Amino acid sequence: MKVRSESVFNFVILVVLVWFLYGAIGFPSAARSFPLIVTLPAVVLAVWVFVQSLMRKPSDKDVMPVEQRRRLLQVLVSLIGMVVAVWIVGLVVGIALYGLLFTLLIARRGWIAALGVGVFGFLLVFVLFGQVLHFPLYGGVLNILSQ
Amino acid sequence: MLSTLGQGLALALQFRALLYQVAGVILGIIIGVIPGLGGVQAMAILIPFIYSMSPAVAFSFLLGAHVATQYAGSITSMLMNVPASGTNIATCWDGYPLARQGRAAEALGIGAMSNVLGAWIGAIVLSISVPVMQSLATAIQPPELFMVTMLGLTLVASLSGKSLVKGIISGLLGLAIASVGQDPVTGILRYTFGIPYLMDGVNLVTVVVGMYAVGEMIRLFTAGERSIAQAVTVSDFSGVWKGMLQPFKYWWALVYASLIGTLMGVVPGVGGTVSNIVAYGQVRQASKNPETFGTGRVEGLIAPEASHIAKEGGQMIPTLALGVPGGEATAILLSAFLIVGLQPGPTMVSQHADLIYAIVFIIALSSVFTSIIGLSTARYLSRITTVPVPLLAPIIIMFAVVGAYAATTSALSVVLALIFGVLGYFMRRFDYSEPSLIVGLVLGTIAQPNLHIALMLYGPRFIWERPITLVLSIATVLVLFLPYLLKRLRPRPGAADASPGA
Repeated sequence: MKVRSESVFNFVILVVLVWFLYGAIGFPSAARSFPLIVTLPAVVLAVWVFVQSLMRKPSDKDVMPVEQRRRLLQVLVSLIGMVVAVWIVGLVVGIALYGLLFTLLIARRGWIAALGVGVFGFLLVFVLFGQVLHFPLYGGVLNILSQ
Repeated sequence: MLSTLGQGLALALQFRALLYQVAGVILGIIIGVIPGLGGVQAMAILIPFIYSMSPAVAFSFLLGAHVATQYAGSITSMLMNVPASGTNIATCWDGYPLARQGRAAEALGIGAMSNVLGAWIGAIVLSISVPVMQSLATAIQPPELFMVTMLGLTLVASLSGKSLVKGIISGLLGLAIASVGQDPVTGILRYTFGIPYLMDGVNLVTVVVGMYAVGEMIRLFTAGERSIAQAVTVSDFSGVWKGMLQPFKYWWALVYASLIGTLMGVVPGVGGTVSNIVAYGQVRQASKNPETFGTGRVEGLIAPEASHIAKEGGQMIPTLALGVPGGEATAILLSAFLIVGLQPGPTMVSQHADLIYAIVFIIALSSVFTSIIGLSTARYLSRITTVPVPLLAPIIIMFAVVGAYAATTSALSVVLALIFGVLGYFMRRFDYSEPSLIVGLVLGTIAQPNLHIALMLYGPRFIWERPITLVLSIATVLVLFLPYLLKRLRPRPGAADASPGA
């Protein structure tokens, strides 16, 4: 049986809600009442939605065109890349690097546009948030290790 | 009362006060278009400048900036689906679809005029009802606050998109996420994995910019869309004028939403996000075609825009009369009062009523200045919607990520915003409701402590023993079940054909 992407997502939501419910059971009585009241009906409804999606006939929505799937994969990988870049080299360089590489490699807009987006990212984070608004900017693990 | 009103107007119209008000508005617009920075941050940044100012000038400066951030946040919500703060969420729901239809200038015009009229309606209502509002503010206790949130929660169902069940699941998931962090009453840590960042709960701005900005950019890029608006007429400024006339055409939505905003503003702690959502939901329910909301309905944009500005005046009542801040921004305003040598509280109404009215006028005037300055840049701002998506997507994602970071100054917010962005993309793809999740998250933080306190004080009987909670309970049940009862009672389109003899 071919598993539909909708069923997979419904299952993920169900797992998250079951985790919330399981966690709530472990809390002392005063702290568990609210999450328990909330997650119990949510889990019941999520099971119903999941079962319904398994029984439903396939529709056009279940099929994602190859080109769209490729673009989705690209953008998801780029977001993971951004998290890794920010973690290693910090917010200023990480964000600028993300803008530059996304525009160059995924959007395929050429060097000038890529540099423009990268510089914009740098100005946004370093100049506006760092220098003008005086936000403490995360420096990354490389910066922390070098100190 | 009229002489006090006149004194208040004179205070608000001083040349120095007007000058600082315009300066505050310009700074507020600049701060407000940056995601993650809203009226609260604007006031916090500008408060050190008021030490040498008179009270009227200081409040002109601060409130000018605060009001301007609201409209500036609406601009990014309408044009890019990037709400600068929680109060702008409901603006995205119909403002952004309007921009996508090439009606960005019209949307900006609708927002601007709704802001002005909403502020003036709020000011008029408040000017008339200050003494009544004072007693109302004292009548609102935790049981009433809890029931207000329950009323809001029932709107979760009505805000649901294609699937009601998935809408309810989304709302409940939002409530569950709201329970992450320290329990507001017992102090017990829940779902934190021992991470200090999660002790304060999941930050609303992080979730909002993640779900709306990042999620929308993933969707646009994946779908291969060329730009946000495929055929925007940016050179045609007449769209702005057309938009400015719309609130007069849909005057009932404007008045209704403004009154809801004013009344909800009086309730301490409810805040702009809730009042906007409630106003949007009520206008939607009152509409003849509620199912078309979310597709670019004019009333759907008028409601949150009028409500959020009208609520500003309402929030001043508990702040000034009781010394209880109506919201985050008014909490900062309280400290401004102390800086300029005033003590908000019960004596404020009797001793400084002129200043109270001055504040009402300042809010109303600020909305006019904001709209004039905001609209003069509208034709340039609406061009944003024509920027090619492959170029716009990384820029918006960068904005969103930095906005999420600014809200908490923690790098974990970057991760969380991206996770919620991906979640938002898939939720929309599979007919779950992002607005319901956000509503659940917002209301969860208010409902939890008030439920605890209400149960401790009165037990479960608080629902029927207190008159206001009883009315709110009945309203909640009606909001939830009335549309279904009406739907069932309505004859089905094919029923006549299927009947014998047809």
